[in-house]
Amino acid sequence: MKKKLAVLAAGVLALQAALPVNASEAADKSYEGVTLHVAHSVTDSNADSFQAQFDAFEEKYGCEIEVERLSSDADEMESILLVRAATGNLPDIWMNSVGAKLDAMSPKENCYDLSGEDWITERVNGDYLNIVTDEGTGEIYGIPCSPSNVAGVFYNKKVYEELGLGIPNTWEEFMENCRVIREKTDKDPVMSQYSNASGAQILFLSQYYYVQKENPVFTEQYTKKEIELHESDAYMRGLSKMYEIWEAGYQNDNPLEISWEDAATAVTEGSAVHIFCRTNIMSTVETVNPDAREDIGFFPLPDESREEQGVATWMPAAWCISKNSPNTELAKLLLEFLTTEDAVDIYCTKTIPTGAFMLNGVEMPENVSGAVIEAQVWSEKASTPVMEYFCDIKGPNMATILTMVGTGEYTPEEAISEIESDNAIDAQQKGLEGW
Amino acid sequence: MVKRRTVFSRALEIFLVAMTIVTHWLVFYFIIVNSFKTKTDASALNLALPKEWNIIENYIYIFQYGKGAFFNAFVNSLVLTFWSILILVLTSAMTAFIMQRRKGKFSAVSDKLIVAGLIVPASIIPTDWVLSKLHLANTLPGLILVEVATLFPFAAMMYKGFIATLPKEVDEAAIVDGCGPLTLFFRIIFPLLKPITASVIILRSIVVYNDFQNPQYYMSGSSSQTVQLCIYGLKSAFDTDYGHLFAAIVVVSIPLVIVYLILNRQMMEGMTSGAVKG
Amino acid sequence: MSRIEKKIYTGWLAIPGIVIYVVIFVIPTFASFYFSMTTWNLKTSVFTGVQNFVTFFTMANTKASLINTAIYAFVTCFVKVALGLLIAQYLCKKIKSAGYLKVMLFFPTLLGNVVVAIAFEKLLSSGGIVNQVLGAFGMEPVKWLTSSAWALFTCVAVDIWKGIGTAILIYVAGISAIPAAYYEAAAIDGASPRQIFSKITLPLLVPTMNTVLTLSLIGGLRTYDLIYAMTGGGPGYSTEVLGSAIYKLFARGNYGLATAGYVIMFVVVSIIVFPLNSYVGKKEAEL
Repeated sequence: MKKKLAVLAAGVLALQAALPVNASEAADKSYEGVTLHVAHSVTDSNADSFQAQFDAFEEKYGCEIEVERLSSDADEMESILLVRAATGNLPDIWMNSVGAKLDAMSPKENCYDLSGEDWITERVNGDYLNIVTDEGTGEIYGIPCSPSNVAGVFYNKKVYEELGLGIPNTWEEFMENCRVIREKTDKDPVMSQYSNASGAQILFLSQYYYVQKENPVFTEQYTKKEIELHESDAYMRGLSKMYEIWEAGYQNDNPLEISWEDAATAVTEGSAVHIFCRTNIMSTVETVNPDAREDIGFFPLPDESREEQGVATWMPAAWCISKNSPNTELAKLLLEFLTTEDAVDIYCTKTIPTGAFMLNGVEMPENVSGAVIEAQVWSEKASTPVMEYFCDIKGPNMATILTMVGTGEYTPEEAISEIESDNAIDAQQKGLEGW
Repeated sequence: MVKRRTVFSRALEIFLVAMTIVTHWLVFYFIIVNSFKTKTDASALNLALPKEWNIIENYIYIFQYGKGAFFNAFVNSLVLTFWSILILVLTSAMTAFIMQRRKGKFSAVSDKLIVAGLIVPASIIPTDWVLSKLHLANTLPGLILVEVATLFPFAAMMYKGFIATLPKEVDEAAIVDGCGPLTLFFRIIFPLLKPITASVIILRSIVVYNDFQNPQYYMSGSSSQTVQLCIYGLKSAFDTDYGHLFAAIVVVSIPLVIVYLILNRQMMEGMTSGAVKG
Repeated sequence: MSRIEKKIYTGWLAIPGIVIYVVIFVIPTFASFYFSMTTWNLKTSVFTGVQNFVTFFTMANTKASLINTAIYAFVTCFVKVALGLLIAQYLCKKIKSAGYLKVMLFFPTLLGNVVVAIAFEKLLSSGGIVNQVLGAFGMEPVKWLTSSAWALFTCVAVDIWKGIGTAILIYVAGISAIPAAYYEAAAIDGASPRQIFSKITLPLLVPTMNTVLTLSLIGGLRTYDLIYAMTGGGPGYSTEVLGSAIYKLFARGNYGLATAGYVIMFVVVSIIVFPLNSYVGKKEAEL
């Protein structure tokens, strides 16, 4: 009996090993019975878009795609992937943040190299390829999975019109607008959403545009510990902006309880006027209040100088293939499919894109909202990816500390010393030089 | 004197019953009634009856959610609980039997190790490291072993306490009848342990089925994730969609309620037999 | 031990349990002592001595997490031990609703911590039902879970709501195991109910009380998921406990440091529970 089982098991194994080889020779529908494991961490309407794309691919190749949902918290997702990479349990394809967070995954050991595929340079936008390519070997590790995101201030245009406000070009003007709103109406000038890690960090992370304007080599110096965070005035202003909004009483009184949906509802209804967010808030707007989407406008996070305004962007995360996947051929076919215009069209049936797709020859569809177009204009004019693309040092308590600044429990000075020591722990644990 | 006590006792009884209505029934009612509501209706977070009864839609939606992801997780949890408890009951009863009957060095050492295991928290990350060496990381069998190992001390102690009350004459009679070790244990001893087995099953099923921490560390994002983890994910996926969220909560809670209702009486018997000693 | 006994009580029966326990629990526990002294990415580890322990105690949230863990563990434990006993004692009298109350008070134990956390988060949100009721009485809404003044208290209360059923259950089992003859004898001697409670029930319940005490104290010191799902340790560090602080380190990939956190939790639990256990054990022997 035991022997029989062993033979059976060996047979099944052999069959599994043989399948992809057989299949790669034949064409469509020949992947019947093969299951591809894809992991991502998206829960909003983007997830429906992915699903629609996967369904189309399944239809085309007869394979099955099993989706695993990783945590929607970015840090947690990174950690899960690290553990799974270390324990040899990566799914066939997974979604990975790019930049420093891709480096943290040791892509050389874990990610399948796509540089040998002829479609990749043809399809994927050069700027994006740069950040997923290993400088030394020229290996390419992923393709963009969704549109990019631009961060800035989203505001209710109607309220601005009613009160005769102009778009602020400096932080001072912004605070002045808030003061007017506070005095003349019962609306909250700013809707702050600090109930999750992403909400608590956006304003602060978008400030990076001004940080790198002030000191273009800030990140490199910091990674080597040649400077401290508090030595950058621009960096400090990120904290003081959060603090000032609280101090002046310009924000809603329950930032720790609300969700993005609540925030989007409030701003579209006009019960709150500004929100610091990424363009993906517009897909939330499309679900909660589609009629009001053109009432929402966009301007960059204002800073000191009216001439030097700009925005921070979030590059789309990458789909990566596991080096140890038994189904690399099929996985490559899926990635190739995802870069086609067909796939983008399918993507757009479920959600309206919130930025550029980072694919060659793919334009944003015409039905995107004015705010997204405005954000895109800024992104092409003056932008930088946020700091975490260049530097993966981040203490475990960053989001908590920022929440405390935004709710007045810490002054920027108290916060910065805690952030510095918190980050130091992370850097030491990662074994970075100089720490 | 006697009469005053009765009045006081009555008042206390009424008070306790009334209190459970507020602190328990209302909470359960809140969860259940909101699981019947549409999204807009549920967002009011109140106790009113649904304006529109959305029962079937909500519950079907949950089972179909994410191409059956919730349903899969639900099945995973049931499988996890079943195997963990089965293995736990067998291994801990057998070990406890031998440890109680044999008084030697082996018993003494095991005893100390097991008592320590009652108190010491499991070190999760090194455990994951061991599992990965065994090629069991991120798999359901791996998680089953973790659950068995963490609950082993408590179950073994419960069995040991009870076996001590079984006279050795029982064994001796069986040995005279020609029973081997396996027949002695499975035919004679194990059936006598029924009350303890019932309380181990119910008390430990609760722990395994509701476990969040171990699956979170070991199984996050895995296709064999458990339902508790799935629910936690739904918390952000259904950020403001409380009708579906509460429907999921109700579904998740049902299996244990059923187990409890079936085994409640035996469990009380097992616990009263004086075996719940740490 | 006779040869027959050796054969019949064969060690093989004990082996499966012991092997699982040793491989999955004991070995990792010893391994954690080593890994707590390294920086570790799960593949390679670099020995750093006691550095991680020093680091752990300099972390911004460590002090808060230790204090909160202590408050949480002692308050929940005290209430479960004391209130649990009173309720159980009462339920063991001949009252009509005893059966109903036992089931009802145990019921929350059946629910998962995440389920309980979600339900209470919604019940207690600023627009939730509890605040709606307060509002009806003209009171300001209370930020039960999102203000540092209330959050820890709320978590403690929810933990008690969920966990007291187990304490009551264990007590009820303990009380019903006391032979009726003792009570009958006491009744003949004309003892008052208070005397019966303090001279018979209480002393005989010491072992049971020890069980409840140990279990709820350990549970409280290790607490993690209820708090994690309800507040995530916030606002600020106001509900940070050891378990959540360690998880945050794990989530940043700082495995060596997170393991050091575990060893610290291990030590904290041991130095509180072991002596307490043997002290109560001694009392038990005296009685």
